[in-house]
Amino acid sequence: MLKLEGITIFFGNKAILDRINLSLETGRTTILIGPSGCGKSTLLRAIIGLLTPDQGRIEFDGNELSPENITKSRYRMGYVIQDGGLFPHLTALANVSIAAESNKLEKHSIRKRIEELRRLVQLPSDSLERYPAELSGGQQQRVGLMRALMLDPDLLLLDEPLAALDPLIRADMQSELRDIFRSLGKTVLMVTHDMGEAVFFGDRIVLMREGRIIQSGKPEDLMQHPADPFVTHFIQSQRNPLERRSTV
Amino acid sequence: MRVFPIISLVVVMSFIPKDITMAQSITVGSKKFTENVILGEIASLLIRDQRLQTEHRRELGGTRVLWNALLRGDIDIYPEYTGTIIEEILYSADLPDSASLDEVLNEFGIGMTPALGFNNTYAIGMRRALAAKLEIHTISDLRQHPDLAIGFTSEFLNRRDGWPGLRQRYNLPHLNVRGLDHDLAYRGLEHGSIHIIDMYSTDAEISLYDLVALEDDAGYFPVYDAALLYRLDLKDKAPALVAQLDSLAGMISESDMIAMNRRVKIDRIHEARVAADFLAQRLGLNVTPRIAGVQTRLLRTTLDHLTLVFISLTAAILFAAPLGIMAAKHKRTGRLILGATGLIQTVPSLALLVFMIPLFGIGSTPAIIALFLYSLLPIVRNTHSGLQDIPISIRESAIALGLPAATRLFRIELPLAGRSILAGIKTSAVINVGTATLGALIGAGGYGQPILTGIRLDDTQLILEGAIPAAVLALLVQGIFDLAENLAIPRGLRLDFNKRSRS
Repeated sequence: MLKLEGITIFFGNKAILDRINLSLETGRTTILIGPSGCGKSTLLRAIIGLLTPDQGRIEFDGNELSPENITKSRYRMGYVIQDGGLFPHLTALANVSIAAESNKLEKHSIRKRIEELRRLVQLPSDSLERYPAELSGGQQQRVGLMRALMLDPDLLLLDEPLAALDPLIRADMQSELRDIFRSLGKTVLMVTHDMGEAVFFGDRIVLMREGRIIQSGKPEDLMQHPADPFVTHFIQSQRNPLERRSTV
Repeated sequence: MRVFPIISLVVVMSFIPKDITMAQSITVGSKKFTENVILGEIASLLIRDQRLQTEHRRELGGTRVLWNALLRGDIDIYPEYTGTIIEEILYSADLPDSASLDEVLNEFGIGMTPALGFNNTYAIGMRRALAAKLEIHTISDLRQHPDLAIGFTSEFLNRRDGWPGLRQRYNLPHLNVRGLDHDLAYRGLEHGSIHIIDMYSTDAEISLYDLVALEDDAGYFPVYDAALLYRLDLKDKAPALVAQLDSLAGMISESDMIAMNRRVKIDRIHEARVAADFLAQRLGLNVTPRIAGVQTRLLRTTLDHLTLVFISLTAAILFAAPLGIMAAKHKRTGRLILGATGLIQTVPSLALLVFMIPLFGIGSTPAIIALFLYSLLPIVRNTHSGLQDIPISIRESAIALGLPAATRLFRIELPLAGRSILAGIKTSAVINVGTATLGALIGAGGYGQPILTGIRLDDTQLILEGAIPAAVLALLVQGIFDLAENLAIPRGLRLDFNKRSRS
């Protein structure tokens, strides 16, 4: 459904993405992980067309993405970022419905869809009348997810959607999100820097470093058959909270 | 998008009152000193005596302003002096010795009445007591006293027949020379901050302040016989009027003029009254002067001022907001737009007003255009910065949602930049209200008119009649925009703002 071939983006002389090849399987969740600055968010931004690759091609559902067809393709991709990116001057409801309205969808079906999504992300109904500043961080992310899902996209792109939440809410939302992804059967590409989260969500994990993909595969593959000492190093650096104490 | 500013400009321009071209009305102009205003009133009363419509644009900016307005037909008549015509207006025209001044003027389509009867020449004056103490009798004597402080009108400082020529002819060494308003110069003299001024020989203040005019021993100053200049087409439009104007020939002696100046400046009698009395005594004409009361005046100036501000500001908003958007969208065009509007702002407001005269004449049109240009920068800059300051995450979210450019602009970006845009409009409006007072100098009326008259007549009450309403209007405008901000800024943004300011 999504296929990247040789994607390269330069920032000055430095390649922040270096010949990335990747293809996503339909209905599966793929996790992009790596240290900060490795290019994982950049890759997401290139897919949704916020950045144009200097080299390489992106194929979405069999068609190569270009500046001409990117707007149409965006309706079939949902994009959620860390701080939600909600429009502060619009209510949650307006945030969720703006793309549908701009697509001239019927009022009735918009309302129906919003109700469906609200139940899915478990938001209280009165919260949709509120402005983003009146919502908690977790609620903002739920609204952001509703907005991304509004047009029933084939592909969901999530850029550290839970990173700004405090740990308890984060844990709850992780399970909720995973259930949502499974129940919807969407193709998901999610960026995180947290190995635990990656293992929890990922059918497949793609580990990046300095603009390149180091290894990709099932979580067990990365742990048992690391392609590079960096893989082991990266996995081990994310310690279990009790690990240090048990080694003493 | 690109034609929008042009269309809006055209629409707004069509609302500009066509006050200058009022049919069959004869417009009189006058310079911004009392004698000229009185002569202008005399001409207006004669026009009304002919049962013709008339309007008197008093206290216009200077010789150039009036001459150009006369050539363009914005005014039909104004009082001028022969010396000024030869030395200042026609200095670049090569005057053939044989031709009379009349003939030269006719080539411009301008006629001149015979001399009215008095010579209001320039004189160099100082207080009698000081002159006696320093034993100064002639202008040549000034050479021995290079330390005396000089205060000349800016017109005299710069005109060919003024200070540059005088200094050369008499070889005067003075360095401490300042330019200031004629009416303020008398006050400076009384106060002792300046010692020497230029004055007109018919000024009422000469006797009031006990001044002495120094003898022009080198015969430098030409003769300044007063006369009325008028457009030759008046001969067809109102032949009887021209005959009437001509009949003023030799009727006003120097002592008559000094007496009239004194009645206005010292006895505080309205120019129109003084002019009417003169016509009644000398020509046996019975014309009642129309003198507006405070309320009528205030209503008139308020309407004039509001018209200037409203039209120029509306046009500026319609034009500047799209420019600001363009500047934010295209970096290179943006630099150009911000540079150009910034450049306009560096032109002093008075100069900008005067630049408008050759293009648009006098009256409200050039003032509105100058105010329009002046109001652009704050709106352009704030629209630009308001759009630029939108967080990248929000701008990109709108793109990633697949919203078309127009939807992004009108539903996301402009509302988010609204506070900044509104602040820019508010700044423009407040500056506009203040700057519009200068419009009076080019005949646009408004609150500047009583201020100008008040300065001329040393009448604080009259100055306040313009200054206080202008200040009140500025505060009012500010209040209205504060209110508009509360209504127009979406609640979501105000919440956001509160949160930020609290933390």
